[in-house]
Amino acid sequence: MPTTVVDEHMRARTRPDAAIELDGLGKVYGRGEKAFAAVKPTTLSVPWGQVIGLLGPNGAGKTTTIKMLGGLVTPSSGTIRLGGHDVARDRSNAVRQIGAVLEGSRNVYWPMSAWENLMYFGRLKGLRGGEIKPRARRLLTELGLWERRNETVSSFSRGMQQKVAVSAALITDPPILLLDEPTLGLDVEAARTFKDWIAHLAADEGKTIVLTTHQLEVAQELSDRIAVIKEGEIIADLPTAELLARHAEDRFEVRVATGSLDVLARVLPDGATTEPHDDETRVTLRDTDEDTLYALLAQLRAAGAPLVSVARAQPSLEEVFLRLIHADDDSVGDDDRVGDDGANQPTQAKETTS
Amino acid sequence: MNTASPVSTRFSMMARFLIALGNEVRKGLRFAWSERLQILIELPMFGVFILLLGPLLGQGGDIAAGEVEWTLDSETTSILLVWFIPFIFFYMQVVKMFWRLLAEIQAGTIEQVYLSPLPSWLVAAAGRVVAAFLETLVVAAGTFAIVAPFVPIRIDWNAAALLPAAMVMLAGIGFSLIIAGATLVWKRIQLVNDTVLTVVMLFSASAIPLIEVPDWWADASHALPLTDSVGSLYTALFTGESITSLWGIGGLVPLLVVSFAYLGAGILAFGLGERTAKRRGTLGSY
Repeated sequence: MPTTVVDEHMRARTRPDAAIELDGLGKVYGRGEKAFAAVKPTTLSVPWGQVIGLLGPNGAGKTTTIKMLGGLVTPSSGTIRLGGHDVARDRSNAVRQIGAVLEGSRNVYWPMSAWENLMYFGRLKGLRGGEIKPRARRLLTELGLWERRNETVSSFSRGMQQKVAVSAALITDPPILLLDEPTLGLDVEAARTFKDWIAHLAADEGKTIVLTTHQLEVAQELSDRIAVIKEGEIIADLPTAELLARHAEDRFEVRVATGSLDVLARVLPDGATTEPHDDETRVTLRDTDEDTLYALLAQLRAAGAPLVSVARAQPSLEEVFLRLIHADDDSVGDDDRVGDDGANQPTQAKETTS
Repeated sequence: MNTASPVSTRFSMMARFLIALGNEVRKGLRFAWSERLQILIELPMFGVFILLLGPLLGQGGDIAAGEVEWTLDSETTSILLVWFIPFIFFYMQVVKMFWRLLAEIQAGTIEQVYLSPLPSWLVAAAGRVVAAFLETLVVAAGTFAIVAPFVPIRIDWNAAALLPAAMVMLAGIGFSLIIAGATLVWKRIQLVNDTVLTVVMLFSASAIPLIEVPDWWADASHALPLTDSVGSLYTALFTGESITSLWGIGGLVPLLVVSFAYLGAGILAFGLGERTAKRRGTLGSY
């Protein structure tokens, strides 16, 4: 029997387990021979309060997914539920659950002041002036913009403009935040402030956050869970720590003073890589046991190469990401996809683990 | 348990509607204020255009012979105003709608507007229509104010003119929605836009007795949004006749049918443009 909007309200009255539920969500652009699957049918569930990093190369389908979540792009298949509300059938209540900062957009009106923007977006989302003002004041104060609230956004730095965009997205205090490349184009300091703010929203305010970024150290730091998308398909979806652990290896990093290159060339074992760095050279030994490490250290000592440090290292998210993206489809482990404990179950996955 | 009565729910919905409409109008007027210099530059141009056109219209032979009399005839200029001010209104409504929407698409703010829980026809269309409407009223009144001191304007103002004036607005809103829907899909359509506006202007001139046009021209001009409104306005303001005549230029039937048809087509076109842009994923793409 088809569900009605009333059913949608009844369903949403009791808070569902998941903040975001995608069921077979897919998007195909074009028709016939020109058809292109931007997002292959995907089933995904994001629990309340989780920060999920959606990573992938350009054109992987991240932005299309984010825009489908906001109802800005019509899916070709599947359903989306935000806080239990179906985006297609109950759009009004579904979009009340979200605030979004979209990539490549100004997100706010530059000819208007920060204050005017927040008032505008608050009213646009159905609030009254009295409800908006205290929240706008708090947001602008927390982001250090209160003193400049009456200046037009066009006069702000990129970082400040982005802060206004996030404030506008948060003006209704939505439980879900969609952040598409939020730190793009920000300088180091602004990006740091922004990152701290996102961490605060997740940790202190319990926001569910979908984050896409090409800055993988940002994703690694902020995300509880990472989903890697390649050619419209989720090829990995795990808690961040688990994803890194699954790709961990016996790896050591040896640093020797520059000037030891001749020695290194003679003694390095197969597979070791070197990387000059300021006044030292970093040697990375992958898939190496401790015996090989000690043998190398002995040789370096015998040759008189000045040792700076030795450490056990783990691959960064960036390395794991590149490994996943460049791996052949068949070689991506099914165990990179999580199972039925509130997470991803891609409809096209060959196998999932629980 | 939800204890809200249907009346209070309706009131709350109405309040929300008005808040949202007011919000968009405030934004539109805020932008208009930031463009006040351009508007101030534009305004005298419209006035100058009417003042120059007055002595030249219908004097092709004299112009060719180099014998133009540069006198401003009161009757001709008054009739010109009744033709041109509705056109300015129509033109500004369409152009403002197009450029503001395009600017929002370019900036990407249109996507944030579509993230509103309120219906998109309210936040993306109705508010803009009202804002452009208010702005355009000011420009049209300004044009009249600029021309009036140069030539005595003799118009027999009467209530019968309200109907065709309302139909000018209705058709302008409808046509601006058609353009808005097309803008959501194809974005840079200003050439098409300008061409259509020129055609509307030229054909609507057949409704006033300053230019002689062939029959086919007059017949074809019924299909365009301004002709019968201008014709009906002319009848009401200059001839002292009733505007209830059913057929002919300015007849009640073509006036109402064409104006409402453009409004309906506009609502349809905007919805279609919106759906197409969302399906193609190009709502905020430029």
